[in-house]
Amino acid sequence: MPNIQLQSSDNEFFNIDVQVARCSGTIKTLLEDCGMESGDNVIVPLPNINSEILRQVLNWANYHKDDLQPNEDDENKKKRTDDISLWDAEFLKVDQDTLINLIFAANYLDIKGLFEVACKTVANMMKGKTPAEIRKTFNIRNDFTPVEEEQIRRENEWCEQK
Amino acid sequence: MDTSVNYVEQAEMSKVFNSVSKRKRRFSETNEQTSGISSESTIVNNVVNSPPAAKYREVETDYRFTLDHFCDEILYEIFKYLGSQDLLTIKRTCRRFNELVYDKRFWRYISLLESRDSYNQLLESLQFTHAITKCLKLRGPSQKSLNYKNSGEMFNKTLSKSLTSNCTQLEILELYSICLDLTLLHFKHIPQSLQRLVINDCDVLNLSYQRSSWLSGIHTHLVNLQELRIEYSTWFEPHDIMPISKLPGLHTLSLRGCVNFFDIVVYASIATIHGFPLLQRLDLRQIPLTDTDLQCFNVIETLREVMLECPPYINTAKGFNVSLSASKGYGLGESAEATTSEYNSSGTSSSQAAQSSSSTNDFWASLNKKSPQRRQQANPDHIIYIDLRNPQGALISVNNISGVNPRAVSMGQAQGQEEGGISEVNRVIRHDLFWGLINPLRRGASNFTNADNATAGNVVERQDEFPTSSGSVKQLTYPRNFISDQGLCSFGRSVNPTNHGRIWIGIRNRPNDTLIERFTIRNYKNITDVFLRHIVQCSPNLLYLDISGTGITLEGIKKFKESKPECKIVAEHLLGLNDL
Repeated sequence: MPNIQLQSSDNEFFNIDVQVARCSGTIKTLLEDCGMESGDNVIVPLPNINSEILRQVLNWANYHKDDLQPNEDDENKKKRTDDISLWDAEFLKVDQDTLINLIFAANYLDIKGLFEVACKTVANMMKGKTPAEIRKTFNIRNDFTPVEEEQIRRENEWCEQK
Repeated sequence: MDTSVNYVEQAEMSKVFNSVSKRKRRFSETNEQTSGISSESTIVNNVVNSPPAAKYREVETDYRFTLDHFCDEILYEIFKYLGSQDLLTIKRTCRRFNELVYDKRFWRYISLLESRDSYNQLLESLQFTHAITKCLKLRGPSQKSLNYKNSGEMFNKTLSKSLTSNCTQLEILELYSICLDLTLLHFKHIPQSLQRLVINDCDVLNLSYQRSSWLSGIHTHLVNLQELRIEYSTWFEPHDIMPISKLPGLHTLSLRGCVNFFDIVVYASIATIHGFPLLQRLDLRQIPLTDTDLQCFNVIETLREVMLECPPYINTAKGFNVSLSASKGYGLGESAEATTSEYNSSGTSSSQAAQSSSSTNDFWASLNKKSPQRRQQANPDHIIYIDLRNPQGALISVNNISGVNPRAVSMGQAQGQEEGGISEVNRVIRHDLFWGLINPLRRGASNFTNADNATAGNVVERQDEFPTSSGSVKQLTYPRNFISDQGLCSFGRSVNPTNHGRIWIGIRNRPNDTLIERFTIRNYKNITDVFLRHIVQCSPNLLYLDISGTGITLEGIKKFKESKPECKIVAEHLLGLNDL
């Protein structure tokens, strides 16, 4: 199998198998459209993924390179978040910053499996929390005006007060 | 070649960069507050090239991506894994999320099943219903009747409006612990597309007794209904089965825990002969049915699964001072079930138990007087409250008997005790007079007082009545028993009849064999090996048989297994089953 090179934003080069690279829909399309599937020494610059994240993404892609393409999930399966494989769960035991960067990279590189599993992990971090807890966890600023807050509070409690 | 790569890449990149820089602008606006504290950690981060410890990285949010940087579509991909409850929470975190949550795709499946104090969240969620909402599962407040006047009325109106004008393509509607006001909300408001309807532990207000059944006409309206579950609903009366039987596409029916669904022969015999064209699964658990009642259903030839379970309590008619509102599948089921099984296991020789306990305590000795006069003159001041809704277990309080102070004992505590000291509660519930008190009509008396006696005909039915505070008690004038071999052997016809001494009438009107694949019969002591010998002959498709708590023996199962090795058997009362 021919190799290709990926160039991270901090100019590190990753020499990888084309098979692994093809996990990424973006790279796959790029190679196919430009007819470079057999060409060696192709360099693909990825200027918005740093080496640290790219290394992790490739690590994931390497492990999952033989996975079957997931068939279109039916509606029932869609909401499940407890079907994360053990390996993926371990892989995603990273700090929030990395996790969010992974989602961004997976989205940009169009790696469906990684994207989904990372989104599920974030969703799991939100489940069962209060708004205040979610704000704290994800560093979200509460930009409701006091008037709006009051309105939300009233909508939520109008029944008791009536 | 290189140039072409660059060209494509650059096109890609510029697109991405644009979106990133857009986000970044947003980021710098919203995160001014955090920039102050990050200077220290940036230094740390620069020094250490390898991934630094997580706690530093969390502080150092500066120019890093946070959740807020994602475009709406990525946030959608994350939020789509959240349930309705969490979406309503997300809605309150910030303005952007508040707007995002209105995306219709989130509200195809609305499910709010956690018990809560009010209708607020249900009302809030209903505003999101729309034409592609397929599923609506709602659980009302735990004390449904208390809160009704405040918000229940509003909820009924809103739900009715949502059903008629918003979610017109609804397929699944499940309502739990909700007060339904029939003047505001009726099955006629439900869209015709509905396939599954669950009404569990719901009260019905403004039920008109003038009409035959408030469900009449349901078969012309909900023509696509396939699954109907009316469970733990005290308002469900025998005649309500008539309109249900006419539903053209119904394949699953559950009436589990409908305590007033008894004496059904008049209605059910007609309903089952002329209706239920496609019914495959039938759940009649925790209903005080008799053999005669059950036999009505054996004419439904399409049945593939039948579920029966002896009610963990004895049904009481309305107005009697035992609060047995069969509510909430959870909690109640366990505590009540434990009561019954404990009683059954230790009370198979109930006379012994009664004797041994009577000598220990004067109070219980007075209760133990078995003179018939005493029973007939029973004082209406004898009131036993059983609150099975208590999550701690059934709370039993006995008031004003023989000058003894009111006492309340908790089943939950009693069951936690060691075997050595039989608690007072256990003594109460093992006492046959106790069951006489809460079961004045002797409904199913054979199960509790004559568990050894498998032959139904030998049970002497006592017709004494217990005065009740209200006159609305259904009067029974004939002996009745819970389900026994007789009722079950009416499903299918065996070549070698196992239930001797019966006269069979009109048996040639249907095939010998049933299509039944799964049979669940739990806690009926009167079911014996006779049933196994029957079913082995006329249920060729049988794959699953749950006979926990019945009178079936290991020996019987062994023989059954020899003829039907492929059938999975569950029998929790038999310990040696796994060795077979």
